[in-house]
Amino acid sequence: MTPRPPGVRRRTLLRSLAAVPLAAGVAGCSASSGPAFLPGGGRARLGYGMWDKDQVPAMQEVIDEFRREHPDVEVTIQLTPFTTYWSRLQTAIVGGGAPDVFWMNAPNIAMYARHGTLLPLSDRLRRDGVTLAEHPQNLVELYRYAGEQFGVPKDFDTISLFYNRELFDRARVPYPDENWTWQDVLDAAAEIRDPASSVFGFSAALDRQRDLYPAIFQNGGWVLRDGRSGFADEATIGGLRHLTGAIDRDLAPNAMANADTRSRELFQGGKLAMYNGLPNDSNDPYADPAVRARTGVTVLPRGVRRGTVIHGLANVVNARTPYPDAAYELVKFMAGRLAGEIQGRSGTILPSYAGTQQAFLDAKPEFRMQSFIDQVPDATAYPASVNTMTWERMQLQILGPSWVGPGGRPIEVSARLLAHDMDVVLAKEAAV
Amino acid sequence: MTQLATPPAVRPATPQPARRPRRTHRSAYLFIAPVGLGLLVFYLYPAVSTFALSFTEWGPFGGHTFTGLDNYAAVFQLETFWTALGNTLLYMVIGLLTLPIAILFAVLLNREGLRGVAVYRTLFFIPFITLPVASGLVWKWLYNGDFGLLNQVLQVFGIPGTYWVSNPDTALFAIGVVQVWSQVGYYLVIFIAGIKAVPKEYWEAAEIDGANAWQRFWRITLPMLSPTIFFCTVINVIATLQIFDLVYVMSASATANPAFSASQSIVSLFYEKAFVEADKGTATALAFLLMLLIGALTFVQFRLQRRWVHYV
Amino acid sequence: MSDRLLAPRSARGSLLGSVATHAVLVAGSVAMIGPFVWQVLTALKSQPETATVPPTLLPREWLWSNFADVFATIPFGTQLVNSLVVAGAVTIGQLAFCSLGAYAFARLEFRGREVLFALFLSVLMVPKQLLVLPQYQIMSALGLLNSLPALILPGLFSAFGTFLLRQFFATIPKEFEEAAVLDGAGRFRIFFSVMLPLVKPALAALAVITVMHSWNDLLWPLVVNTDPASMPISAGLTSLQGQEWTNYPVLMAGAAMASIPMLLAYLALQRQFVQGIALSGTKG
Repeated sequence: MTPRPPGVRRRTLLRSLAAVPLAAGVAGCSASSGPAFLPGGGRARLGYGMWDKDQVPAMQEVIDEFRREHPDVEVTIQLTPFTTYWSRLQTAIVGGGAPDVFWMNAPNIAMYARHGTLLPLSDRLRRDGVTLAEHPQNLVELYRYAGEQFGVPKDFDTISLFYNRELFDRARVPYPDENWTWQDVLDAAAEIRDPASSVFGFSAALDRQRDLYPAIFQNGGWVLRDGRSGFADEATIGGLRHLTGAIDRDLAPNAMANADTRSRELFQGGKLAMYNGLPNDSNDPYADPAVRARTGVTVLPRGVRRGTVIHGLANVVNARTPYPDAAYELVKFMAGRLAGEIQGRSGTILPSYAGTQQAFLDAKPEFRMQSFIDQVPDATAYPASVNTMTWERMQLQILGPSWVGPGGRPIEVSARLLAHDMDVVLAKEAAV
Repeated sequence: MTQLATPPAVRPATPQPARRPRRTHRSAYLFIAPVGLGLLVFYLYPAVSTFALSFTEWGPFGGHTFTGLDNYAAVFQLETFWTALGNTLLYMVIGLLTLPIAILFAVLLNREGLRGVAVYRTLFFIPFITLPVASGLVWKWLYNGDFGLLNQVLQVFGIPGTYWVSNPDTALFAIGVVQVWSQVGYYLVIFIAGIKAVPKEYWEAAEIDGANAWQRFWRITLPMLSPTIFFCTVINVIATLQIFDLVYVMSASATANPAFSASQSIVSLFYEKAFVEADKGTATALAFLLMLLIGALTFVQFRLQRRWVHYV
Repeated sequence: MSDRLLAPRSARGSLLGSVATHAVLVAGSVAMIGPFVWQVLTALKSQPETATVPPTLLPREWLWSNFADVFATIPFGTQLVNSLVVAGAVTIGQLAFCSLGAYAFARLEFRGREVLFALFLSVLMVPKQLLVLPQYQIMSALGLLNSLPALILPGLFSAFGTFLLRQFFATIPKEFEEAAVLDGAGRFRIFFSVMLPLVKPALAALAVITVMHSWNDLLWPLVVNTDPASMPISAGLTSLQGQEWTNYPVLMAGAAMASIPMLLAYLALQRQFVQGIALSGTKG
């Protein structure tokens, strides 16, 4: 460390003091003259929180493209495994160190928005004329709270039917198609069911997104409306009964079997003929040539009506970020066409921006991935409230006893009990 | 050594062995300072402040309002709390089985002239050094109801198997077995050393007096081992009452696990409340109640030791 | 040193006893390492194969590449070094700090000794999951998030280590100390040159236990370090568990490789460890 003569130091100090009013002046007019995120130049440093390892290359490419437009913004990906993503995020928001932009999902959006942890985006979006019209509207609404837009959609998923052609051939049953109804499923399952080789016709697991909600919506039921639970509604119960009835008649594995071996593993192993799956559930079957050859994808069967649940992630901004403008530019970019195309090309996720899904479809030509997109008009948005996690947990605990097969608790009893407890939680939310 | 020329000041003023006053070694505080300060800052202070906060309501993102004993009352009203409490006590009982198993193997490994002792000891220790994530998942596969190795082996003997980890009746025991499996090696090493510390003469004398193997074990080995056994039961109880990693890996399931409540321990309930449901108020109250339980059981053990622990 | 607990009198009985003993021990060993063998076999299979039911015993194809894949999917090398650095630092710290405190509790008279010791012991009973929240905030306030010091600092101090070593110091005959005092040695000198060498087995024992716990620690590293480059291996491997599925083969391969340093540490220290733990146990 070379010693400095005192005179030099004073000069440097004076210079930096002089820079302050100049910096303030620059900051004042930064909004209109194009993004200069920090007064006097300098880089904005953003952390981007996500949980899916497979999507990292795609997101990195999106970030690289973003940086082409905004070279003064540095973005670092922070990957946290899903199992600890939310607990870590909460601790980080309280204690500091949370990412500036991060992934958000439906069950959590309301809680984070309500407690002011997210940056409201409506004003900025309006100012830039961004309407988000190219994204599925029920997803855009999902990430709106109290009239304010907090998240911009990134991707989406619906549920489709995966089926095993070999098992159908063996039982001499025609393959499922868009005309299928519940009765067709039950009939096929009865033909295909083979206890000797542990083969099941279809899966009626207590899997909220894959089985529960689609069944409920297909029967005209509902889960959450105006702060009340829909589980006591007859149509909802009817949808659930379709599932528990199948288990009682030994057409689908019961809860214990499912907890031990998940439906997608059964399907992968050729022990399950029909299975409701997310777009990502196609990765494993596609990766194995033998499984790929025998797998088909089509739309879900119709109950009283067509129905499926649509969900998708959004990018949100940390309310306490030191770089709100830079963060906003990032999420705006991520809601744009280019980001959608990059994601689609990667084949790992279905982007929500209309018209960018072709690359995703092309990545797996043998599967009719179009089924996921076909069902969007009939889809109902993923039900969520402020304390979604609490009452979702209840679903598993209270409905569980009805999923064990014959002799389990009657589904009407469980459903009404759930409706009651869920209403208590929802009432508490509203009272706050 | 004559005392004429030597200045007596060379020698520090040492107290005579006969006198044992409560003399304060001031240097003692310096010795304790590093570890004491560290524990204070990173453990005691956080624990105390969290205890104070357990009497408040926690907003999910900070903010506390005083609510007195509400959190504790909420815990007692939770049905899942009582189930978890029962489960945890059951885990503790099962965990104690590790000790007789370890003693048995320790005795076998101490046989005179036994070859390969070090090899066996290492093999037995391997479960202890395997990461819980890995061993939990492997055991989950072995336990699989439809396709697991365990049921396939049982089938050979004509015994019907079940969904070990998902059946509410068996899940707790299934996990308990894995807990025992992973800990045996650790206690085995302790007991081997404990047996080694017993003077040979005791057994030789007993044999001369006509005692058979079982009597020698019961009358000599066990009492001589009792201080070791005591130490092991204390740490075993404290550890199993806090069981979490294994339960978390083996029974948390994306689809409903019918056995979830039946196998939930207090700490896994704490984790659910604190991190999944963001109900930190209830969670902290729960954690301190667990602390009380651990403290009480440890105290009881210390009290009981007079009855059965035989100090030389 | 051996016992003849189960040594029957006749030679033939002795052989039978020997065979029986070995039979039981072998059965026990199989139960102990069976799952580990399964873990390694899983590590050699392909991802779809591990998710297949019924599970195959031996891999259809022996994919040794999975072990290489571990290095490609996570910064395994860096994380392994992290684990080693943290384990090493924490062990040295505990040996130093805890032995100092333990000696004072065991051998020095001072006011408040009993109370302070009880306070130390009470720390043992606080579930560590509880401390994650406040400790995180401390690290954040210190600006140490996502760093190795964040992993090391809380681990440098241990009530358990102090307790264990105190038991050992208490067993050393007082004469050793008194002789040193008579020779005019200062307290620290006595501690360092006389007492510490006498408890070497205990130090080795504490070292093994500390290394083990540091290696397996999962929740704290996950919460405080999110950057994979600053994670230890225990946390790093969990990133192979996704929301919907788990990359089983690579996870198992990584976990298997992560066990190797632990095994080596155990083998190196086991003699000391066995001796050390023995003395601590018998003195209760």
